[in-house]
Amino acid sequence: MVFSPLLSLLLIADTAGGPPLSLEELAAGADQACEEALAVRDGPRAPMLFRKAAKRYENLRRRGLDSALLERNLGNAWFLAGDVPRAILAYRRGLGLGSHDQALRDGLEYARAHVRYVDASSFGRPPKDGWLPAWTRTNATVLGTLAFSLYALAWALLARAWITQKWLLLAAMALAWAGVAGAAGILLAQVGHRQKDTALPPVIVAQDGVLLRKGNGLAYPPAHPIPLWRGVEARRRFVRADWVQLELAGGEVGWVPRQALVMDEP
Amino acid sequence: MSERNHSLSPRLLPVAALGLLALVTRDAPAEPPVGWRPKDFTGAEGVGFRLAARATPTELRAEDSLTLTVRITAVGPYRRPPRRLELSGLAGFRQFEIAVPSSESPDRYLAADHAWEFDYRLRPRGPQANRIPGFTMSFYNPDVPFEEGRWQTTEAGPVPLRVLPRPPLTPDQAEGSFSETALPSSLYRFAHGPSLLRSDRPVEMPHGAFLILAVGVPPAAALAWVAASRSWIFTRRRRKLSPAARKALMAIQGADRSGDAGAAAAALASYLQDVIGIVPAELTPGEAISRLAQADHPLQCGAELAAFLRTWDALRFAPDGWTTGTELPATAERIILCLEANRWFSPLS
Repeated sequence: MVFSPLLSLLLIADTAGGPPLSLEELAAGADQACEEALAVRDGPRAPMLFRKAAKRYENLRRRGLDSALLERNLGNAWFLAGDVPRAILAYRRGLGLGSHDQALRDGLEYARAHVRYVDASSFGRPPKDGWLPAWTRTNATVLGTLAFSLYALAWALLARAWITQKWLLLAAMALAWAGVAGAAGILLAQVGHRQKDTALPPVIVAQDGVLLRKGNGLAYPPAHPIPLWRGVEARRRFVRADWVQLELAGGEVGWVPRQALVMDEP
Repeated sequence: MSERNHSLSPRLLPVAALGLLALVTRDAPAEPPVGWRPKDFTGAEGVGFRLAARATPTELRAEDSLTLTVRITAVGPYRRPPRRLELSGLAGFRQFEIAVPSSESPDRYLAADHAWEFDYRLRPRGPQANRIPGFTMSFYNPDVPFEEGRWQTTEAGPVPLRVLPRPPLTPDQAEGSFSETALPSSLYRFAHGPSLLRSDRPVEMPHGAFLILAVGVPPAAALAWVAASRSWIFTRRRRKLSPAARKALMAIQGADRSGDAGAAAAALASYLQDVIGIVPAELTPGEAISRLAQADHPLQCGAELAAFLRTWDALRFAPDGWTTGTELPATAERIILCLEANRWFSPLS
């Protein structure tokens, strides 16, 4: 890719309050920043350049675009910039859009491996979302099409069995119904997961040593003696001024200062 | 004799008014207004406070921690002590990562000096964070007569730092299992171009009307298929008769034209024997009905056959023979068509 000084100037003008850039120009700017960072990926300037690329990708999100690919780019860029909390948040958002993307899962798993936990307990540990086997993590459109096809096939087999009175067809129909139940069950699980993400959006702790408190103020005592560290994942329940009530994966609830978190603004 | 003027000079009136005001307000100290307070107000109320800051250490590497101690000293009587000052919102501190403090209360109270000390843990983000900037604290002095003068400020000067860059780590210095060589290649894979410009829709429950269609159409189609196949089978039945039926019907039609009821009866008997396996002459009407029912033929066919047999018995033993019974050919034809129509539904066929 050719580095474009003109594009850089346009991007500077955009951030300085000039006429808004088009989405294509923003995407080109983000790609350029990413290429610059990849060119020095092992060098000391790489984290700063990846941070710049991540901010350019964030510009695309602010303009209303959101896709699993964009979130994967964001997650990778933030991680390579050294910002594990923002990387985890981006990967989580991406998986909400495309839970079948293995690259997002790999990135999230790798980022989670860099989060510190004080003790061996489950306090602050990430949610276990691996109860579904990997082969079920398919595109929702594919799953929906499969479920509908099996459903139609089951009815067709039933009708044919009625006409010809061949019992073997009923066995095939039972298999088709089992397939429908399986595909529909996985789809419902994906919908449920998405609804939970909407109702209780994910937030990530961005500082070390953050205590969960019983109320929205430093005057309140800690709700749990163990502090949280950068990268711990939680869900946002309430926001009051500069304090946010969280729920951890283990069900623990408490308040932390808003500045200690990375989250999508409500 | 001159009169003594006991009235006050006009020039002394403001002073007198001030004095009166002081007398009136002296025993009722003013409260800081709730509606507007400076952002750096920490709750301190008193005659005067002095702010100072020191850092330990002042020479460190980027991202190492230092402790900033903020000392607030009361220089006179005070009514309320200060609380912890919020530094994270101040512009000059953006170059530092400030750990969330554990409490708003002071970390130390030095009674001899009437001073409170608050500790903050800071981490400079880079070598460019070469000083802790100065900052101010506002306090409320209720003894000032005028409201505007009660809000007062004290300031702490900047604290210079020497922040050295961190040397790059070599893989053998890295702790734990993480090493740069272990970074998965997928981390360096970025999507480019138009693929970034699309938006994915999250998984959602489909619209109600779409769901109703998706759930309702296949069973409706199956039902329609069953209904259509039944009528098609009936049509096929009417069009495709067995050879025995076609032969018998031709004989019956010929018998009908010639008025020979006996020939029609014989044709029917032959059909029944060949196709159904029953000999009508050997059966009573009741036995004929039950034999056809056993073979899963509709009751209607059995009833028609029973009626035919009764007529047949009456005619063959009648004195004038087969000269009457002109309805026999039509009955025989109906029986054959009824049995042929049911032949496609029989599980034995």
